[in-house]
Amino acid sequence: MNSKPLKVAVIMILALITSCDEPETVVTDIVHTDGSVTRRIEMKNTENKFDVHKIQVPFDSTWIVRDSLEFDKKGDTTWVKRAEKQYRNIDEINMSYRSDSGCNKVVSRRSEFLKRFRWFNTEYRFAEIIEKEFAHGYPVSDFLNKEELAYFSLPKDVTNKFEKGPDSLKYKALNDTISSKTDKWMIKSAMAEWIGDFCTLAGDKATGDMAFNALKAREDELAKISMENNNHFDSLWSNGIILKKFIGESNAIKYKTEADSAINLVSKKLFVDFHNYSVRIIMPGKLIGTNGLMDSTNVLLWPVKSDYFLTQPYEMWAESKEPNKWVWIVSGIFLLFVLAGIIFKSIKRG
Amino acid sequence: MKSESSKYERITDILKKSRPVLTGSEAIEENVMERIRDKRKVNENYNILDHLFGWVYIGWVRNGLVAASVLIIAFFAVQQSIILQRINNLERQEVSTGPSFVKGVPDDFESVFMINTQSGKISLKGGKLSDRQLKQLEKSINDLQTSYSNLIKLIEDNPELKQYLENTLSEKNKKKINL
Repeated sequence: MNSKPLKVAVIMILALITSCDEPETVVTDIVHTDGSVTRRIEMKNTENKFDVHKIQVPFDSTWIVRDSLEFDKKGDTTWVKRAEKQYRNIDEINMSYRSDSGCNKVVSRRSEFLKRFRWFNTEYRFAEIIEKEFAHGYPVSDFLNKEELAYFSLPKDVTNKFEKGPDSLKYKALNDTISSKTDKWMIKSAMAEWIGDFCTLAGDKATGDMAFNALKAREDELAKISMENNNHFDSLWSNGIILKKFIGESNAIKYKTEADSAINLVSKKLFVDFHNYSVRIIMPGKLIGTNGLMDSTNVLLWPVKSDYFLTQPYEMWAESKEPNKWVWIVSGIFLLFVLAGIIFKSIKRG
Repeated sequence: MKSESSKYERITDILKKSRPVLTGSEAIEENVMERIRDKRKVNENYNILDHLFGWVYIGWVRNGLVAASVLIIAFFAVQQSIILQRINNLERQEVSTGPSFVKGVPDDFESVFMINTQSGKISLKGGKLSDRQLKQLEKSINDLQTSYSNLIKLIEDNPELKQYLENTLSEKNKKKINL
């Protein structure tokens, strides 16, 4: 039994987020009107140590790489590696995702680009999508309210700033609430996923009390057992105690192989080997819509963490528009022509 | 019968001999010519405008074009209001992302060397550094950091020196406060 306690998972995820050894990476997609995309990668580290295999997006020898050095007023040195590549279209990006051999190859990612002619304007839509890991999980929005959800989506440096600011107590309390609710969300989703995977593995063998619908109806019970035994989940599962408690001793023995295989699958999805990064998208023309974080200079940012695509696809999208000048001119001339005709007619009548 | 016809001939002869005298024939001619010119002018004007705005006399074309114009104006108004609303919504959802590293994407990718100072960011756009210069800079920074660490260690190891420095610094601070 290789499964790990869920609490450890949360700690591991947090550890990954706050890890200082890994370079901080920002991937910027500069979208052009013809659908081509200039992708830039910026990696920042306190040491001049960058592992090419740990770059979060597909990377190869065709990238132009530049190194630079930054230091702040305290004299702390920061090494920055910048790389740039021009993609002719979205298909090229998607192809690179499909053949990715980098550190985030396990997750399924794709990009989308839409160009729509809307008479006076042309609208552009660009999206980076990461497919969900769990097929049977629940959206985190079912567990968090609007305010909590907004806070949950913020990058770590922003939440840190809030927690050290004047309303630190309020934000720390909010953070604790979110942490407790997301634990419940993870456990419930993991158990829902286990039921789904178990029934798939057991196939026709799972009948009666062990059929999908019967287990699904008792999902809350399994989640409750898991939450109560969260601290010793690993050992209790290994000993079959949790399984016996949930499906009874005879079923626990009968379905042990499928149950263990299913929990292993769930663990792999929950502890997905993913290296966090941030995504920026720069759109052509005027920005008119996005689900990302935006500052006063219209800089869009999305933190990318495995939590965000655990139970729902994580779509980072932005929309912009550019005026079609020739349409404005043609429409103006047409309106003037019709107006002149009406005036001409009234003069003739007069 | 003969006498009647002779009378008629005599009267016509008298009438033929007493023709009215035409006075101001030049003025009449000029007047006629002017009227002909005006008529031509009117005809010419009528042709251009008629070609251009002939549709105003055809009911369904006129109504169709007016309806199209109204639709274009309405579409423009609706589209612009939707876009403005979306832009306003975006402005409301602005979040300060703080002094984040992500803002450091230089427009000129070739300019690779940047220095962050207390006052802001100085970008040496014109002065590209060679690899050798970059290595020299790296070495000098490392040397400086080593010297700084050695100095801190030296101060920590020598309580008298530490005391002296602390006193000097506190006096300096006091002076600043007094000022």
